[in-house]
Amino acid sequence: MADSVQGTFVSEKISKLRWKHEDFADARYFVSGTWDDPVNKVSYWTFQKNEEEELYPACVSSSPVVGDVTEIKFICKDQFVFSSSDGSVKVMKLEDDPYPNMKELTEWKTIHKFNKNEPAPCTALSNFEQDIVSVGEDGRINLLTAQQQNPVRVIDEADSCSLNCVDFLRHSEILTGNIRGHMKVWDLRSDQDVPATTIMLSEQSKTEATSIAHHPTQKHIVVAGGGDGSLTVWDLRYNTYPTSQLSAHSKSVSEILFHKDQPENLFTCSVSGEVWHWNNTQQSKLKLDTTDTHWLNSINNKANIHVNSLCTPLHKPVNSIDIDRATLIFGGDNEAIYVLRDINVF
Amino acid sequence: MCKRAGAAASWVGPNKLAFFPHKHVGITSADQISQFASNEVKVHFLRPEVILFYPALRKLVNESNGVFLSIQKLKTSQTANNCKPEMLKYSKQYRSILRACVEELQDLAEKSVPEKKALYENLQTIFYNLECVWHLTEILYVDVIQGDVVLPQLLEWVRFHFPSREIMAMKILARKKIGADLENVDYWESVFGCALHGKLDIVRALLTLHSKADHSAFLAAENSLRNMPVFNVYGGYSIKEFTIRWKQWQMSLSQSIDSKAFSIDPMLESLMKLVVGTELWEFSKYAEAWYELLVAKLLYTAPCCKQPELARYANTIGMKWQTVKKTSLLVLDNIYLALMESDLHQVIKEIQYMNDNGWFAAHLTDLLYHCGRLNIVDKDQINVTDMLHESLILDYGSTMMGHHSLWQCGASYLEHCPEQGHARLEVLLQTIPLGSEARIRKIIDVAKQNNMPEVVSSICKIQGLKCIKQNRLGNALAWALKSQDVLFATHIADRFLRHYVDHAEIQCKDLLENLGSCMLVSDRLTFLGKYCEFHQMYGIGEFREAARLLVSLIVSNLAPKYFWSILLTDAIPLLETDDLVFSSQDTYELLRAVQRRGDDPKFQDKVSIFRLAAARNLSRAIIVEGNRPD
Repeated sequence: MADSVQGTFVSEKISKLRWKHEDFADARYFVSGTWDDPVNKVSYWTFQKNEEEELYPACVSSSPVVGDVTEIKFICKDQFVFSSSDGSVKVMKLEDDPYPNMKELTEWKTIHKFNKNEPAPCTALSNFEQDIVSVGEDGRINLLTAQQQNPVRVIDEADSCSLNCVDFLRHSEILTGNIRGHMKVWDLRSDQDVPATTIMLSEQSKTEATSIAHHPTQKHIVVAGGGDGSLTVWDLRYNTYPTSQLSAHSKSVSEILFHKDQPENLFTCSVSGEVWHWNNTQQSKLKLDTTDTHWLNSINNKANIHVNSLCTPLHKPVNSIDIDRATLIFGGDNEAIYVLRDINVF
Repeated sequence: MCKRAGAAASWVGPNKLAFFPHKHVGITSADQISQFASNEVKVHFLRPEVILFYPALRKLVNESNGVFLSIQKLKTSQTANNCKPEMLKYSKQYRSILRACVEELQDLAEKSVPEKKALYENLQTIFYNLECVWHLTEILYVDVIQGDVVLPQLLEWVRFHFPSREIMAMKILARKKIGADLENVDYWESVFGCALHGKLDIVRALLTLHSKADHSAFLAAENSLRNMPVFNVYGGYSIKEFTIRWKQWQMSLSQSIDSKAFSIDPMLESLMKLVVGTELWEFSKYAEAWYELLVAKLLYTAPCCKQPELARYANTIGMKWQTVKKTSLLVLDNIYLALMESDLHQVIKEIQYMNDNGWFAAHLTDLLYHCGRLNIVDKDQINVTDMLHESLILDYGSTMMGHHSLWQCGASYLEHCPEQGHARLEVLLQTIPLGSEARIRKIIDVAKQNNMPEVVSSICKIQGLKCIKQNRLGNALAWALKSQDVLFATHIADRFLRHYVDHAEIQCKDLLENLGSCMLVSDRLTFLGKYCEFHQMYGIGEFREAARLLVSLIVSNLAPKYFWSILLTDAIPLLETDDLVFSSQDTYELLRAVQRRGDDPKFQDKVSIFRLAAARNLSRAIIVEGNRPD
């Protein structure tokens, strides 16, 4: 492993890592979620100096979670929402005064359940500011809003298979993906409980959709990761056929992440232990780009895309990545959190 | 209860035993109600306590797993045996993991309540000892020492692990007061302690603080100690040259002693006797362990001792230590002795008693194995190196597999056991509790990586059956398709069709309408998929396409027996449509089907309607077809 990668072993399998972004400064805190232990945790981390004057992650507060933590998203600067495999979703508030601490604000208990009220794992959630959408193995979609105890809307039989991932494309539109690779676009303005469009992850639809991300500014560009390690890109304005399809990782894609401020940079991680950085360096910033195409849309035409492996592959799955400016954190099943500084994003 | 009835036990998973009252009932036993029938019966679960599962030690487990896998990778990528520097690097990594672990345990012990404190202190001792053994092993077997002279490394090892005398000396030195021998009762103890460890610079510094430091005897001693030749591979002398110089120095010192040059202070004189190599056992009271004396012995009598000669010295010192100290050697002492005697078989035997659940034995053996230093022959002169290596890793991997969360780690050890690993992993993977689908996917991933299609399909089936129980046919089908399980897919397709027969409603339309080529897995599923497509076409008013699908479904003969009445009933409205959708050929097929399959009691009341509709359709078709100019 390169010297710039710093690993800290934490004795728990990491399922999610999310930076707490600051407005005009580098992030100093992040939040983690764990999985696969009888009792798991969400933890609040900061950086401390050790004897060798290196900054390393140090846990300042943690709170027990029943079930695995399956997703964490920040809904505002100091509040985040997380989902658990016991079918519930919680909003937590981070406090720094008088000491760093986490406080529970809202909990939606067992909003994902099978027929006999048996809790069903909530597999993913996504948010548009304070609006939250959660999906689960019960094929149900729950629309929540942070201040309200009752779900705003529930689509009970949204999918007859387990839903794996969800993304809030815009305030009125969500995209879900299930274990058969069926991607459904839901228009929330319609009161019909049927999807607006159904698209397929791959032609043979042999693999599950594992993760969805949309371009931060060009929201019609959507990338989804598959259980076979592939990436599929759509331009939702035009048609339901993917604009490009790439076989990327050798195993299932765990997460896809656009850089918030530099959307030319895409990051992916995989069950194969790889963490990749995708960008298109040839595209000069000075050249006025009249067509608003992202390089993802034209991968097939121009083979000028650069993929960097950010570290030597880990021996265990990498479950989550997050980036703040030039600092990337990632973690997975080898029970360590890795920090990578000074990543070249431009 | 167990006392009265007797007891039995059976395995529940890799490291859990269920213990319960049991009375054997065989064919000869009397056929009567057991006398214990009404009693409450308890089943006790027993499992060995695995210290490695403590949160504090999971770091060690995971981090060492990483190193272990790197070593395996190195081995596959490098065919040549010259990866020694790499191995040393990994050995040091293992040691730094151990040391970090000891440090963490120390932290925890300080912070925790008394009951826990004892536990952590206990663990700390175990892992400290492990590190100590590992260090010696590294010196003797992993590190490549120029010229094979082991003394410098051994000295370092002893100094590292017995720092107390040096700390004592440092405290005295820090006071910087002449006459230290009068003020500090432990003055001579620290002098001798440091001398045993070969820390001659400290000894000299201490001597200058002695109350009689200005005396010529002390000056001579200081001078003599300063001039003592110390062997250094890079010192520019060959071993022979060094030996000559050293012998000369020793001779002159010995003459000085004989001429009573140091007799002013008896302690000083005995120090010089130690240094010249004539006395050793008088100082055993300053040593905590026999190997402290061993390195002193080597330093002052055989500084160029090579590894093969080490065994002889170690043995003599070890034996004499027992008689002098009137103690027997402890487990650790035996390990050190065996290491020095190059008896790795004995070492591995001993380190399995270290109470660390096999972590040490597995990792150390693996390292030595990959260094090519392991060559073990059993009592029948058969080379059992590979077997021993594998069995240790297998045991460790199996222990890890027993943990709720560390199973991935365990699997990665079993993957590297060429003989039994595959079979063991195959069995153990199926004993892991399944849990959420995300977890199942991870388990399947491990099974796929190790090429175990049976395990994959069995796990998919278990999950599929669970879905059926929860009444989630769609998801069950998704799992059946994931493992390409023909029989299971057929079974689920049947359930869909029967549900349609009973409720006239297709479940999970979203899934069935998008099956694509996956429906070809089984005939029944193909039928279901096509039938669904028929409904879809019918629903959107594409009657011609719907009719075509229906005829092909009927002709293909794929329909299960109970479904024929439905298929035929579905044809009736299509026969009666305003626009003609069935050709005469199609109608003949329909009539033929009714002839063959129309005896279903559910269809009896519709037979006449069907025939009538078919006859009318046929007449229309013949007219239309007859008018077609072809």
